[in-house]
Amino acid sequence: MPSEPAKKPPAAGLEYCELCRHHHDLGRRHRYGRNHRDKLGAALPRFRSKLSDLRRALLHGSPSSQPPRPHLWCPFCSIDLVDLDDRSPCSNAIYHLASGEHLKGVKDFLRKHGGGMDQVDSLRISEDEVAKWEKGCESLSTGAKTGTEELIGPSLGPMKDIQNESTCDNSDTFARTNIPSFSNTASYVVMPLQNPTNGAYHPISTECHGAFGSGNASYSAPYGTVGLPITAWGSAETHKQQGVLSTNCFHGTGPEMNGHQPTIPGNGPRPLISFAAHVQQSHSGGNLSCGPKANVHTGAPPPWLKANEHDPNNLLLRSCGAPGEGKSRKLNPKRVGAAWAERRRAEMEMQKRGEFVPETSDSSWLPNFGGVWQSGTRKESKKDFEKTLELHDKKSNHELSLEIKPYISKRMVNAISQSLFHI
Amino acid sequence: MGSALLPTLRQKREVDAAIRDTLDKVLVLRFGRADDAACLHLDDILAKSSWDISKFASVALVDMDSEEIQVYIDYFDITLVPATIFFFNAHHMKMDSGTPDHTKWIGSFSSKQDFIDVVEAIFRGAMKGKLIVSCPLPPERIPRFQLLFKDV
Repeated sequence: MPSEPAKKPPAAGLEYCELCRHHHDLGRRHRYGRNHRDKLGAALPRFRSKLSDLRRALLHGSPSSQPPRPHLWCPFCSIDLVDLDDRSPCSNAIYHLASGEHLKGVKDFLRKHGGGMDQVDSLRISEDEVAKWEKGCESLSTGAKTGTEELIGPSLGPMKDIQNESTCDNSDTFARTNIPSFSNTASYVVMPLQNPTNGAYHPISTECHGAFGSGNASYSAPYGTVGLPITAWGSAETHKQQGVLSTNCFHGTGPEMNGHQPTIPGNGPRPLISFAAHVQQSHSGGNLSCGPKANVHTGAPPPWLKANEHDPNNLLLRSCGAPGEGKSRKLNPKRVGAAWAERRRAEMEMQKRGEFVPETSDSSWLPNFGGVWQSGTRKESKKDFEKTLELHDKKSNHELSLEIKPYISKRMVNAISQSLFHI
Repeated sequence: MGSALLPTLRQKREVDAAIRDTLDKVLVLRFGRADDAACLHLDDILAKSSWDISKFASVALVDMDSEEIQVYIDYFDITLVPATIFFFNAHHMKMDSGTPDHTKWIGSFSSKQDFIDVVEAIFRGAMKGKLIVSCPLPPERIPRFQLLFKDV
């Protein structure tokens, strides 16, 4: 009796692998493939590093090299963990990573894609760690409660990244301030500070009122700045009533500064950009280094640019200083007419600087051209053309030099000569 | 009368300056007349696409009826109108489009994109050091003409 051939297992239908991001019909065999194992080997450590950063920054309180991420993608549950509340950053992420759903997701993922069930604990946060974190949050909140109670709007969280460190000491001043109600025609999210937290006091100058009166709309309210009630643009009286106007960014310039820029809570990112530009204009000569650290809200240039200003080896400066040189460095040296272009560029720069440039072109200059019926090199065809041009010019000159005389027939000549003879 | 956007060159020194001062960009010179229908069609396409190609090409119109330009008409052997000649760093760029004349583009383009494709092909070839490039357009979109050798 002939043995029946071994039945092939029914072909698995097409499946989609999220790790490899392609369809396959290999069934469970796919997870043993090299590509899949490589992808898994890359994905798990990546998630683990994000998790360890999160743990280090929030649970143990030690500063990490990077601030906690505002959102985290959980590949096991396919959820984007976004933190809406900045008071407790990454709370969503922590609770999710400690939840049972996440545990189930991790187990399913590892079961489906391989990788070993012993890695489950390294891909989630345990309940003990969550409890520790909650304790830490409570202690932070009780400590800063008096300071942050009256603060409306998004909290600074780690305040160092908004203002300098001295502001942390002045957090008590928040409790003393009364933030008046605003009548705001535009929507706003951020309510700025009323008083400067670094102790600086700068009364409003008259120029500020003028600026207001002109309807200058380039205002916004970066963190750490004193705000004003938003009424009509030109209402200077409310500012007088307030009596105190200061921003940390203006502290450095001191009372010498005339072009105060009173800040008003803005609508969002748009006013911030214009504010930055406006502040930069007014601070072109300002001495920001004397006062507290300048930051993006004060409109100061970023530190890498500041550092590069003094760096003699700065490529950026060099390229800015000599744009032609930078361009030629990038361009292919074997391109058509490269030598000509460099020479010409140098001549043009010399002309711009006002130096004497020997005249290289005259009225007879012709560009490099490959003729239609060209035989030989372009130079030869150009020479041939110039020769024909010279010949043509000579001919035309020769024709012009011929004198045109009237026609005199022989009879007329004879008649004239006879008349002269008789005379 | 050329396009409001494109400069019209009527003197030899203007053409010389355009050729000499356009560095690392393709210079497109259109030789034609303002009253010719094909020239007007071509001018329209050139004007509309000049902004799109401004980063790697610049376009100028040359008036063929000007006296000073006649030397260029003889030098470039322009007999049919309009004729478009391409330069890169003062070097003439040829294009093999299957026509008898590789030194220039005779006639207009069927669309803006065709012109941009041609200029791009020339730019790419020039950056690689090639003086002659192949035309990227299909044969049906290339205008055909007959070239006579010394009117024979």
